[in-house]
Amino acid sequence: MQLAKVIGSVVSTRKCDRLEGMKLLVAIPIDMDTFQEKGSPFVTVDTVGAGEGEIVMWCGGSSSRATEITTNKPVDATIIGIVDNVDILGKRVFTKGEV
Amino acid sequence: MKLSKVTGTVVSTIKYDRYQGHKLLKVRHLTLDGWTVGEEMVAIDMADAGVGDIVLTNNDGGAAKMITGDKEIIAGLTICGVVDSYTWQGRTIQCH
Amino acid sequence: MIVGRVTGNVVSSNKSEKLRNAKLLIVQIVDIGTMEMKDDYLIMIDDVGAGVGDLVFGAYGSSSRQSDTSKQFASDYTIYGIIDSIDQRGKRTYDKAEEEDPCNWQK
Repeated sequence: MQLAKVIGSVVSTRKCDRLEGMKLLVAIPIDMDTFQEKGSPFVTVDTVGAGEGEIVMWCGGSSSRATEITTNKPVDATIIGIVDNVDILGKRVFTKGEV
Repeated sequence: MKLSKVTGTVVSTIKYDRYQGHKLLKVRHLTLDGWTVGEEMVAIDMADAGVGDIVLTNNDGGAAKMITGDKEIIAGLTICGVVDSYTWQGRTIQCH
Repeated sequence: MIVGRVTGNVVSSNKSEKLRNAKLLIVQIVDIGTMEMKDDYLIMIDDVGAGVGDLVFGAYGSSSRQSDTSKQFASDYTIYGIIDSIDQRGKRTYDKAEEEDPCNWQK
């Protein structure tokens, strides 16, 4: 699993039937040391109701089809959790809502 | 899939059982304007390709199982088609 | 998911049975941060009726063989949708309806 920040959304009317009703979000990878954005944004499927600005956990590959919503769906990147806080070595390095 | 050019053949006597009877070819990826890039790779040929041909190489293990028809095979690159031509940005490039 | 621009197609008559009737499109990767099209490309199997000029998204690996049509193909990258619009940081960074000439290379 990796961390990313939700920065936007994608709309697609003509898409595979099995993707009907899925929310497509744009996320950008987050560096765990600095909690800054790092790299290029990518498109992912949301299963937890994440919104813009939130730090989320996502997974790729066949694991992205392991949620109930994405079972047997043609999906290769899924948001599977919203991060509340992150502790590393006894230190709180991230708290939701505090930038 | 990517476009690749067949640059040579590979002969191996002692190999993984599942590879017996499969032809191995040496390939390099191709840019859309026809230049070979990256390193030389070995691919299982399932399209009866020859040296010099431009081919489609599939880089997925699951797809390799389908293409070879062997559910047990462990493979990376598979040649799954010989390219006749491709049209890119309005230009048609004949491949043989 | 992969985002790219359809810029061409591939014709192959001598190919694997598992690619029969597959529509093979050339998709050049687009960085959605900058909306810049890269030289890097993929040959993807079309699942939605995409055409040259369309901005599309798709999946790779075993996810590329999950829909009813794509599961019959030995695919490693499949197009699963045509993008209408992208919003990022409160701004519309891509809108298909307002795009002037997606095939501007033909000039």
